[in-house]
Amino acid sequence: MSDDIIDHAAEPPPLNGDQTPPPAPRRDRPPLIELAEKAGFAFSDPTDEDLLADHARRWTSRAILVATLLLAALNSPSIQTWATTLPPTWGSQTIDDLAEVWTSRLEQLGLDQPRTVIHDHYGAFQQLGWRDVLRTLRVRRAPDRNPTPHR
Amino acid sequence: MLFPTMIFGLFFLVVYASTWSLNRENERRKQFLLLASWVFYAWWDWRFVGLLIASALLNWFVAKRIGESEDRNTRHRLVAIGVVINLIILGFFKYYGFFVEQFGEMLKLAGWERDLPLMHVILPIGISFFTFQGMSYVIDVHRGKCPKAHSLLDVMLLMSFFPHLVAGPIVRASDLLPQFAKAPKLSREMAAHGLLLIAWGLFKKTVIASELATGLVDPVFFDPTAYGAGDLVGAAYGYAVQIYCDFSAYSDIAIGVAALLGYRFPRNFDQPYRSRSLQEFWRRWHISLSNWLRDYLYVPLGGNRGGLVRTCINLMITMLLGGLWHGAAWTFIAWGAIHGTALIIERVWWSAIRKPDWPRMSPVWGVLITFNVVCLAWILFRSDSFATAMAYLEGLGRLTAPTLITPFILSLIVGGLALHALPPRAIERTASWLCRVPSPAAGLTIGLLILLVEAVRPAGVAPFIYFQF
Repeated sequence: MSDDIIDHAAEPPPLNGDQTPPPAPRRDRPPLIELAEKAGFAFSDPTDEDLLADHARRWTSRAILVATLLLAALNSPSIQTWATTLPPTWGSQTIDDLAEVWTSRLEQLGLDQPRTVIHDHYGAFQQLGWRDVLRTLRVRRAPDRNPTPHR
Repeated sequence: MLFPTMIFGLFFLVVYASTWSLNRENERRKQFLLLASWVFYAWWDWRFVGLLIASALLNWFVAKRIGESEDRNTRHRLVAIGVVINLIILGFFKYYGFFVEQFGEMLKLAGWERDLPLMHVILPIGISFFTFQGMSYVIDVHRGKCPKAHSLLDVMLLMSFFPHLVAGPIVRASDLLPQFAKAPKLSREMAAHGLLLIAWGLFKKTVIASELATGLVDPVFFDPTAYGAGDLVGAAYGYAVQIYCDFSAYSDIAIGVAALLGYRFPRNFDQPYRSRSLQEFWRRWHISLSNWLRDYLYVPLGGNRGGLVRTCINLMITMLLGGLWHGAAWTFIAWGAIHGTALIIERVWWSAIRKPDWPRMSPVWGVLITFNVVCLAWILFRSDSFATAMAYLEGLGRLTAPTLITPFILSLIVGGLALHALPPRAIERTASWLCRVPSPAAGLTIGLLILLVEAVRPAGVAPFIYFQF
């Protein structure tokens, strides 16, 4: 008895005459199903597993695309460095020229700044000697004993 | 083609886009991946692509005949032929010069000095890895642990698949062939894990390992007599961090790249320097090799089934051959001997000397002792000769102020060791968070992490240490 109730409850409302059910809104229909309907592909409807994998693949591709674009914009000196290491041919010279233009344009926009700031701070850290570290520690322990350079 | 280079980045983007566009046609997908793997290998030296193909053909043919044969003796003969031919290939390219040289020395000692046919044989990159992989396939088919591959394409791809081709992990046929049987499916968690492993690997290789190599380890090991105890001790610990960050970075990037293409590789490192014993160390260091040596060498020798003495002999043989696998030099064999001896001491201590009612040693002492034994062995591993290693050990008594241990170098060593104090499976946990965020945010996170690495890494990149093995 309870199965009947469940079955009936799950049925869609009856249709009047030739009326066909309206297609699901575009955003609710998985793209693979849509594609299969349009092209009449021979393969069967994708399973949930396929759809999940399809979603995951698109998620991954978008993430890789965003990361690539971000690096192309903020890490242009690396592209130029790489271009200069290529063996000298017509192709590599073209890549080198393009990389140079790309880097200079991004520098004008100030997009090289995040990389430069990190690079400079890291470079300063690399150059630190033990005396610098000890001096910094002393200043932190007894700040009032060390006059500021401006005095 | 090295992983942390622009050219590999471009290569990977092309491979990623092409393989997923072929996802509905698994055979074409695999064909494309095989071609891409050959391009990857040919980038270094195209002549050895033929060797890779020949090796795959050999293993495919032998495994096919084993799978078809009903007769036990025939199967035994076939597996023996397969293993011997693989060893001959490996022996010729990797050990020919070494063995001829040693043979010449022996003749000299015996008073029969002769001009032996010395040749300079170029060592094909990754030969130790793909040969071991081929052997494991043949042996697993013989043992019935793995069915023979459906096609030659599968075996070719198993041995040539570019993420693991040149420096592992040694992926077993039983792990990879079932994955080749159908088009792989990607999950968000797998992708997030892969992306994080790539960024993490780039950091370990290009920042920690490269800086330690150029700033400390290479100069000290080049001429240990020029440095005092402080630098020598620092360089030994520095090399321990460098080789871990270098090799585990390669494995991480390989696992990450494979994951983005839809394939799962086994873990190859598990915070090895937090091991409390040498036995534990070998369960955490280069796991795919130690499992290989256990399953195809130690266990067939008898393992621990023949009593304590027999177990110790088997341990020593396994570690000596494990050392020789790393390179054709006595220093590698001595490295294996140190590990073998330490494992034997542990085994004898636990099974014959230690009484059950004795108090247990603190785990911290276990970690410290194990780490220092491993570092001592690394000195032999890194030295280009016994003379250099002895000069290094002698220098440990020369008490002078360190000259190369700057705050920056020290922070790299401490930071590299502190990676072992991270919670286990930290990357996996971060991946389970990352996979829940929208893709642009995930892309930004990964992009910023790589940007951070790019901003601090030195220009250029040295080849991975394990390329030479």
